[in-house]
Amino acid sequence: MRKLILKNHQSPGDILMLTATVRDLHASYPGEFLTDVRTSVDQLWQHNPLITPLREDDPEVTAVRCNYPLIHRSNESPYHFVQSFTEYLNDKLSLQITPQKCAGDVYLHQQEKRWISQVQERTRKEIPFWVIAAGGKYDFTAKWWASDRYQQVVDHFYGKIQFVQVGELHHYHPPLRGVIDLRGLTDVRQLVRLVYHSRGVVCGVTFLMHLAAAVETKAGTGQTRPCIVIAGGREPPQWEAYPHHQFLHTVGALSCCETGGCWKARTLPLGDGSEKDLPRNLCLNVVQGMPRCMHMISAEEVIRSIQMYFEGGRLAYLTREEFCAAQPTIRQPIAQSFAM
Amino acid sequence: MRRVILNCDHSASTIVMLTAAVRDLHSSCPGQFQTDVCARYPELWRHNPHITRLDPRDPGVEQIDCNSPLTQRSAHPPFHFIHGFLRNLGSLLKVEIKPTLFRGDLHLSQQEKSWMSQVQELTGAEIPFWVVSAGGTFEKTIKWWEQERFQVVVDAFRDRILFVQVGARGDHHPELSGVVDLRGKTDLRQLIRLIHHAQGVLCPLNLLMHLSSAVETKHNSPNRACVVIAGGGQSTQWQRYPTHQFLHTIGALTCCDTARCGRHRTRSMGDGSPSDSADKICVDVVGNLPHCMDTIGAPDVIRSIQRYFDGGLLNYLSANEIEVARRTIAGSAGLSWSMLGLREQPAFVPQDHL
Repeated sequence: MRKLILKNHQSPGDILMLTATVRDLHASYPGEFLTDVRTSVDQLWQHNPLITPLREDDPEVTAVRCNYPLIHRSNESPYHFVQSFTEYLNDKLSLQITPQKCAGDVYLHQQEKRWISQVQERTRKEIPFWVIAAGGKYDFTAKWWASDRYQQVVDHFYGKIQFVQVGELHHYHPPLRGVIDLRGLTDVRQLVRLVYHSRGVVCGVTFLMHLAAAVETKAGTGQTRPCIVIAGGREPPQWEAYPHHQFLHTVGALSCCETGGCWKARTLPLGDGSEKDLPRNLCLNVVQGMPRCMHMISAEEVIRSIQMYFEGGRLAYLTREEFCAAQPTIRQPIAQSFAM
Repeated sequence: MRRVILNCDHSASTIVMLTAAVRDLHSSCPGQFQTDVCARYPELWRHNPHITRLDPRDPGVEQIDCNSPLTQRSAHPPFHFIHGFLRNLGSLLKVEIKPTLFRGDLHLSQQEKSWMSQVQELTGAEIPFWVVSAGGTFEKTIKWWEQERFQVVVDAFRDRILFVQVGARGDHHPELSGVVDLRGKTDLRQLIRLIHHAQGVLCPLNLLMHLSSAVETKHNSPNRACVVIAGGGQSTQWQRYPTHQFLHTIGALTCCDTARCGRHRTRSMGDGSPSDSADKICVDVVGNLPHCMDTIGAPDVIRSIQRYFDGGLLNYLSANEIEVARRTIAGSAGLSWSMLGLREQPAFVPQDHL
């Protein structure tokens, strides 16, 4: 049996893709590998039955620093991000791993599933909710959509959908009104569990989008989780979009993303000395402080995409009791707590 | 050099995918193969530089039956239709074929490209147009969207976009008003050339969608605008092209919660077709449409078309073009399909006979 240690220290979204590769490796070569990982996000591997503790000084162990050069062909080739590390391992180790599923592979322990959600801790009653991320990292401001548009979406569904806002403390996540505010209050594992309990997700192209596809749904809520992704033209849809998500993109509609994603980092320079501020990394077409591709996606379109899941009959809006249960937990933010 | 004849007896859409596999075979194994095809729809292979006429009686020629077993597993893995033949062919030929481009591989000769379009034959001037397919085959009625909604879309762009309606004779393609009517007037090669000239395409999941990606654009722009009214019948990752606006409901209804429903007809037609068996009939019908198709409104389609114009890549008709379009539509109405049924074939003669 071959022993592998797979290494990667990139972002959580990347690590989530590596979970898929490990799953598909074992599915393609059952009983032939023992696998362990060294990554930047240990919490994504908790309870993963495909992980066996291995020592790097074990002479039988092969350590592989995992990359995904496939991204350089992502605009023109028919690959999803979920295949990225798989293709790399296939090339590196002369394997033929076949992708099984268009999603990462995250496991929750039975005990974790029994725990009440962070939302229920506040509402005291189990209510359906959607998770919303209305911002992102400063490295990639080109992914941001306008806060007031997120607010329009939230306002439109007032009394019908309870949104729970999340976001990492040191990232840009302007506060929304009428939401349960969990910004800065979830580590990765807590976010995984929050997504598990959620009925749907609204976000840009972020880790949350990948989690929406990778984390199993709660019993009785359908087999897939609704997710609206406000994507614009930064990434090619075939690389990022999950089959059951509504992925709102503009690839093919603007000259700057006519043939695929532009992969630009920032809308405008932030003056922080980062290489993301270099002209080659800046959006070429800015409208009202937003990349034009993001500007073209209206709040109405996002609202419409959310509605589609309800019109389809899979989901029901909040009952009056559920709405009332949420009210005491909703805080009207006073001010932006971490300014841009 | 290995010489291979590829046998394939699939639909035209599927053959378009085979053209991609042949392109990628030669790209992955340059100089190692001579390839010929024995397939339906030879129009799809014309002027293809990867095709060499081979003698099937030559003992040195390998014969390969091409299939896409991946189609049966298309619901969940992250594969596009384009992978179907690619993987199968690679396995049969014992070579690794890497996909290169996200599109089929159709070729037009320089002469074909120099010809004016069927639309220009009618308009007398070159003006931009979109091709619309407002129906489909009777075997897959589940792909149909409502005629009235197509009409709302066409009306919304009156004097801004010239729509040209196409559709095979014998299939269901209800007449739209305010369009140039080329239903029943394009053979496959003519359709390819029409797409070559088209600025955009509006269609359900059908050959037209694949052609809109596979056929090169007239002015060398890298892509052609295309809005696909898909519903929940097919898996998105299996069908969607990157630069298309693909309107789907996968994940929104219980019948397509995780993936395509794989059904064929909205209602039974009582014709004894395999598509009429109970397991092929839609389980959630609203009015005359599958619920998934009913969920997609005309405003959704209008917004998706507008996106290409809002982005600045396309322009609406100019004042002069509007006049030409109006005149042509009025003239085209005189040759409507319903009238064609009452008299001889119209005086339309294809300009070429390849």
